[in-house]
Amino acid sequence: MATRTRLGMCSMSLLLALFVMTTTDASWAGDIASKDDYRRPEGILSPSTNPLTEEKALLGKTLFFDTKLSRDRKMSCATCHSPDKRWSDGRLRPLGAENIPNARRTPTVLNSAWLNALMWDGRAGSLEAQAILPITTAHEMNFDMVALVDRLKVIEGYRPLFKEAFGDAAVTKKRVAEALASFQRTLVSQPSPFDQWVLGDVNAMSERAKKGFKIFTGKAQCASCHKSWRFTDDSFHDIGLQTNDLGRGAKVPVEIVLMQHAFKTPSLRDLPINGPYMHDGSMSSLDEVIRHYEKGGIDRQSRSLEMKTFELTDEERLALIDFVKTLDGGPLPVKLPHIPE
Amino acid sequence: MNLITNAGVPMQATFARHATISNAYYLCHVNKINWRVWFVVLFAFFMWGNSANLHAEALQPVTTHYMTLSHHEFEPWDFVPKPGDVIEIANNSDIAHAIYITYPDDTVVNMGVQISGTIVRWTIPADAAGEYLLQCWIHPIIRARLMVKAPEALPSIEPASK
Repeated sequence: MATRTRLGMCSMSLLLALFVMTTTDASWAGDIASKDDYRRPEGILSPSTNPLTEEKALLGKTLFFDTKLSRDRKMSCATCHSPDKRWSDGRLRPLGAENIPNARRTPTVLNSAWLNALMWDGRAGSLEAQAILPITTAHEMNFDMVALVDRLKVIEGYRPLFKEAFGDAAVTKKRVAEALASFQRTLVSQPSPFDQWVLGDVNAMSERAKKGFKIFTGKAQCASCHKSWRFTDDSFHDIGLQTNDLGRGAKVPVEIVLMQHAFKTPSLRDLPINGPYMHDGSMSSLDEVIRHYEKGGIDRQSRSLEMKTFELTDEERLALIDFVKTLDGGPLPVKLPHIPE
Repeated sequence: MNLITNAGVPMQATFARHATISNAYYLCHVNKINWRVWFVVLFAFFMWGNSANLHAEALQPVTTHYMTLSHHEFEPWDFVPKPGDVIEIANNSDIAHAIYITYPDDTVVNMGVQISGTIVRWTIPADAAGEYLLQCWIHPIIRARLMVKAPEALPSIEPASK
């Protein structure tokens, strides 16, 4: 009798568990834990060698918008990283790179405070190192740092800015880089509907967008690479695009085959709705992007092991797009600085 | 003893004729084989003496230390490896990694692409000392700094008790 009772209890428990799983849609394991993985950080990261201060950020902002940082005084950092284009340029190829082989799309500088490998191939290990590269690239600002420092030294209006930021008015290459890096660290995406939903506002996202999030973290496995609150793993993958560009493969030993044609996973926050997408700007709609991942791209030795084919219905594809749109917190308000002459 | 010289003359008889010179000189001088033997023996002693340190290190027990890759990071570890130890890295994540190690002299050693669920092993060089940096080519966020320390030599004389 006792055995029969225990069997009955076990059966009831099993049925109850199945009922709960069905009614709460628990097929997506770890619902709450997964949402926590996307929670925004409290502050902004900065290295101990260049702690973030308002004064350095103000100097960096002034430099960022100053066309005098280019040899011909026609291009500033903001020319390609424009506030009204989500800190990118909206172009397939950067200005001046039209005839450059394997030119890559301008990435946004939003949320770059958290990056530890910058540029599409990760060749810059810090924002300070990255800040110098566009200034000295021939088809971009085409300047050299010695000449730039000499140019800035004679501009009276910069003296108080450098003094406030660094204690004295000396202009050096290192200080220019640190100030530019400091300003870029302050460029953080605005909270989006997704962030509000993560914090508990169940109405912040539509039901279709919530379904899209499940597809994102489940069936489509987008979250394998687009993870954390910034929706990137800060890593490099060959996603099977038709390209001659070796990407990170040109920066690492040739035996690391997986890095050939590999590029950094871009963040999905604040995406321009019509693209361009991918490192080469070769796609112009999220629908096109999703269909590429469904097919898996070119099957070659270097293709990321995370590229696994799947198939979505039209409705699921739309749900996924709706979810990605919830990552848009809107333009970052910015007051343009006074540029010293 | 039945030692025979090249000439087939019993050694004892030969020795008797050169009693005024040293044994070594005698053996090398009168015996064209023996100088080669002496050379080999002396060379062996020379090599043994110079490799004493290596012998001492070889006598140290080799320890295998275990590290685990958990998605985008190494799980915490609490060992201090010594030269000659083996570091075994298990990829317990569901993604591939490609760990490389940068030596203090900037030498880079690649561990190859490590798919999910596999193990790679790195033997710390016998002359290692200092900081060895483990990173991933695919995921630069993955970093681990290993300080390699040679074991301290045991004191040969016990301190005097008070």
